[in-house]
Amino acid sequence: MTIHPLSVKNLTVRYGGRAALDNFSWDAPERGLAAIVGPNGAGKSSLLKAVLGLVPKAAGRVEIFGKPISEQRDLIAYVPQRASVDWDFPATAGDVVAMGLYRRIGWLRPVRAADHAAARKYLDMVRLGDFADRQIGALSGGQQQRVFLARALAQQAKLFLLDEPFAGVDAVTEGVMTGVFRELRNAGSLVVCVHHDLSSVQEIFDHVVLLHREMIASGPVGTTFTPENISRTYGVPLALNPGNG
Amino acid sequence: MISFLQIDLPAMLVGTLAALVCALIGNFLVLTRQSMLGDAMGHVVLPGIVIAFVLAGTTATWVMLTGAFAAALFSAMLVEFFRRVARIEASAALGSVFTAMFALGVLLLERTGVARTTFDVHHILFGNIETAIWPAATGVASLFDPTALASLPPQLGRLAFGLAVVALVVVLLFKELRVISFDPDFARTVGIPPQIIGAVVVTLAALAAVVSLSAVGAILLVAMMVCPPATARMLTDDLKTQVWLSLLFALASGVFGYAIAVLVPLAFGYEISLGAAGTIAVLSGLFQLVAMLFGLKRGLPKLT
Repeated sequence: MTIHPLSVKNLTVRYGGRAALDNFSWDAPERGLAAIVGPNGAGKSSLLKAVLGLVPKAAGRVEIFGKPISEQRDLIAYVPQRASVDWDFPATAGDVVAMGLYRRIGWLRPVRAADHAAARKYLDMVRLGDFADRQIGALSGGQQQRVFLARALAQQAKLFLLDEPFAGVDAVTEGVMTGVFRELRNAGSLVVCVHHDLSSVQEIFDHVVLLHREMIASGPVGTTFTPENISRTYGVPLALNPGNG
Repeated sequence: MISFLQIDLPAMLVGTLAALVCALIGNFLVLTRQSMLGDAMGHVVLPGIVIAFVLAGTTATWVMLTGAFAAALFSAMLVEFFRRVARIEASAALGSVFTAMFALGVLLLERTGVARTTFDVHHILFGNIETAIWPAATGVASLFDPTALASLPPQLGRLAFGLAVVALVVVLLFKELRVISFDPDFARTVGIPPQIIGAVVVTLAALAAVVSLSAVGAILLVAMMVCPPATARMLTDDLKTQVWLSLLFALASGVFGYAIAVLVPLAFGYEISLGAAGTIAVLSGLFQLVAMLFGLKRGLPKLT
């Protein structure tokens, strides 16, 4: 039996009485680039957050490489939506990337010069090597997104979970990120992105999950990302959920 | 010289140490958008201090701290209860709990009679630095005389203890404080729980409030916590530099604020008497105003 990087079983997430995600199950592929797509409010971000334990699960189970996330934090890297943090925070690009090393640095220990040097190496990988000392608020949106990606690379994870990494970024950033994702795939990692832009799914990803509060379809992009499945995900009017009042 | 040692030095130290401990933890209150929590802490600890004093009959540091922490903890639970069970919006819950707790403290002060013997309501509200005196000082030699040092105002010991604890925790948890302030969700995914680090910040804010309350007063406390970090933020984009600068501004406010309070009446007559707590807070505010007006942001190099 294969051990999936991510295995979600019967996951339900509720906010108040409303189910944001309903009885969702997915065994992710061993490696590659997977997109989670679906309309606004379909529960894409809720899925990532529930997988990471950032929002409580109303029901269901999540396993990372066969174990609960609390035992597998070294194997995952999370990139939240860029808009979820205050970029006016007093920090440089290097400071933020170094946060990806905090777990290895360990509790109560300071960030040292060697850590900053390592952070710079990860900034180089997203072509921001010269921006290590730049205040994060002075970076463009695309550059900020790449700083977040560099922070995730610093974590040296096997499973990458990214929330809308392509939202509102420039062409250079899109190219850099796609290149990095392919390298991660070649290195045997799984990259899962919540993704908004249907037109670029085929070009960037090899697996897709179509989500609309419940699982609509999942599998290789070639066979799963079909007009029928897409219209089932987006075209059907929002179903009322009488059971959840 | 002797009068400086007996009167001005202890008072200046009390004012400055209070400004330093408040500013240090204030950096993280401002960064986590909890500035009003500092204000709340200054208010909620009052009933705890009064009850602890009535029960134990002493103003010993550990008694005051225990009472204050019990009150802070009780208030924090009450705020959470209001938010979750009664579904009251966070700032409204905080606002109602801290004013009610403070009012309870004032009532207890009046009813238990300690307002006449141990605590002065006016001092609790507006602070009192001038009564920190060192009558045992007879000259510079007293600074090295253990017997004379033992009779330094007890406030000084409390403030030094509070500053040492806050400084130690900030140094040890600096990167954890940085990551939970910037990106709490990410922090959680790397095993640094923002709730626990946040609780440490609240606890340190309570400690800072308790040790400085008698010096700066409940109302001016928030100025001491918020102004120096906010001023420092105008001048730098580096967190470490910001913390050091905020301490520099706190130091300057403490020393010059006290000097103004002493020198203005000397120069212009004693009918213009100024409370040092007030001048220190006003000076903190003035620094911030000047920093904002000149917009000196990014003017200083990064400290590493």
